[in-house]
Amino acid sequence: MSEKVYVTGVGMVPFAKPSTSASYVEMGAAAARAALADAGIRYEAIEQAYAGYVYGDSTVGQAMLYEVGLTGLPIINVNNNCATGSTALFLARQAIASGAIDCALVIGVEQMMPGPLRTIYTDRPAPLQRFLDTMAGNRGYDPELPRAPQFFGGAGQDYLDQYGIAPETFGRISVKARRHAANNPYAVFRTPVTLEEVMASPTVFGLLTRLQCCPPTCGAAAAVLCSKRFANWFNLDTGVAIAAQSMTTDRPDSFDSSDMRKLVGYGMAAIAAERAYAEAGVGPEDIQVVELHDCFTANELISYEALQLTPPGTAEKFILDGDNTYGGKIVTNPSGGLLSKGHPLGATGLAQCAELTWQLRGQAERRQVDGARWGLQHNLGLGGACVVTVYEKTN
Amino acid sequence: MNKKLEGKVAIVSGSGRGIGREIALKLAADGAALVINDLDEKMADGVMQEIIAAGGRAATCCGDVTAADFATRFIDTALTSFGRLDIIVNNAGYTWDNVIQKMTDEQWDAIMAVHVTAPFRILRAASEYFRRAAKEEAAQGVEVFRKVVNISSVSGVMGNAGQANYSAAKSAVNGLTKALAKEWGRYKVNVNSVAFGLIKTRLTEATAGDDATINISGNEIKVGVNQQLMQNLETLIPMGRAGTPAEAAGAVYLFCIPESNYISGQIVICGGGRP
Repeated sequence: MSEKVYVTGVGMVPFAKPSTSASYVEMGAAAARAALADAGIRYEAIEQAYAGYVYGDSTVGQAMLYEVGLTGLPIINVNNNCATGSTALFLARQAIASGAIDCALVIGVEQMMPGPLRTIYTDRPAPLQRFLDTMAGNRGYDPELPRAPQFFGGAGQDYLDQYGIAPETFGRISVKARRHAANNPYAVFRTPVTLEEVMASPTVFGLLTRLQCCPPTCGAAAAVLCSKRFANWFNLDTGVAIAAQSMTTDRPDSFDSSDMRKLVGYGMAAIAAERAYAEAGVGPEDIQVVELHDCFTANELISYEALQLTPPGTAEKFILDGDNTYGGKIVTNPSGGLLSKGHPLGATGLAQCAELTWQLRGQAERRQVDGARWGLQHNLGLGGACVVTVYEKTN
Repeated sequence: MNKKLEGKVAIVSGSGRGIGREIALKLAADGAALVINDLDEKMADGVMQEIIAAGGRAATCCGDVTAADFATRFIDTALTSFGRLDIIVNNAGYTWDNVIQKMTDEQWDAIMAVHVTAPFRILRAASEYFRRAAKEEAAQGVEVFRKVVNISSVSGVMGNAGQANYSAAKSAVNGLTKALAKEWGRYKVNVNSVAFGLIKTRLTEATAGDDATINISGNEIKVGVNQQLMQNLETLIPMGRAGTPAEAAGAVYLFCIPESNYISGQIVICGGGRP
């Protein structure tokens, strides 16, 4: 890996509730066109495309991008659960950094159905079986209830049990998320909510109320990555670079431990973050803005510590002191995060990339984080995969 | 086999059919990425797809070359699709004949616009990039030759009865060639004209008096040559026949390859030995 990789164009479509959105084909093509226009290049310039999505039959990437052009380029479809988008980014960055290509289009899309995630293929072992078994041997698993809230609600409960924090602390994350999303035209939920409303919303599982769970969402986002050489040829913006990126999967401790936090990716995130900071040569104290994987409030809270934004056991104080928002130490999820912007699984990693790119360029308008120089992205998928990326403002 | 134009980017106006199409396919076959232009989007798309199907790279920039914003669009398409520009072929054009006493201002202006003003604007729009690229390459100590081929005609060299407008326009474009060869030598841009003699295209193959027309900006313009005259013309050609679009493209190709790097400001007639 020698070539530095730049994010020279980003684009997305406003996220929408299921059944109110356009089809994945239209959303994906629109996001791709937006990213190309933002970069100032045409589709013909793209050497390879990486298309991420979780739910859909094969070759969704081609179906979307054939609407944009038929140039015969390699199109690689990527599926890695909720970390799909950033996995696609990881592959594209790797291809450019290695010198194999100079420019790639990365696109993420999801057309979700209403309601909680469910299994499509019931005639074979579930890829998450190992996780379900671990959870069953820990807090128990109720197959009648949606799975994701059991995983992340359990992880939140383990944190609460260990440190004795108030359940409302989780709720405060939703309040902050909505407050941030109010300024994001791409977000699904832009109406502010009060802590009382969050806590009074129906319980989904354990300590998680409905307003603490991300909604099923439809959407698409895209990015154009390129080398310096390519940017020079095309006279493109190189104001934002990927300074470091690390991808991890589960290790034995995910399954051995009686700590549900480990089962939902705390370990993957901690190691990926450590490596990304080392590669970038910066620490958490250098970061001004973070887009992290707040699929549930519980996961945002434990991720603060996995990403070293605050020391272990101090997440509650971090939240109560307002250190996770404007005016505090670091702004977490200025976009509104998965909780409020929405979580179209395959698109989330690219939407995070778009937000951080806008932040580092100073184009985030009312969401702009002052003096944003370094951005951190954390995208996590159960099953599992975690990608942590450090973005750098280069000028 | 090493392709001579590998990594080069070429734009050819009027390349949806006829000689322009042959030029585009020839350059693409030798490795160049192409921007195809035509008034007719479908024809341009067809050529683009033909190039891509053969494993090449191509994009389209459709529309009228005489439109005010066309030149910048044309150049931008090359730069935003392929990141560079190496070869410009000013090929788009048509004839709108009449003896001078019957020639209208509209006829005169239309032919001057497409054969002289459009190439002028395209080259002017390219100048910023050409100068910037030459500067950067000079700083790196490398010489990269870029190519302009303006399509002219024996009518522009010898004059032709019934084509006062076309003869004047094609002569003017030769003047443009010679001037730019002098202005752009320092940027290592070769500027040459290829003047075609009798080439069989839809403009010349149809029979005069038949209903063959082409539609330019809403004007139905009659095309075709009197077949008796055609035969007479062919007997005057030492090689005994009219040229083909592929042979015409071959002449243009000569001025796009590195072998012509030290030839500039020339008007070469591609006419089967005549004149």
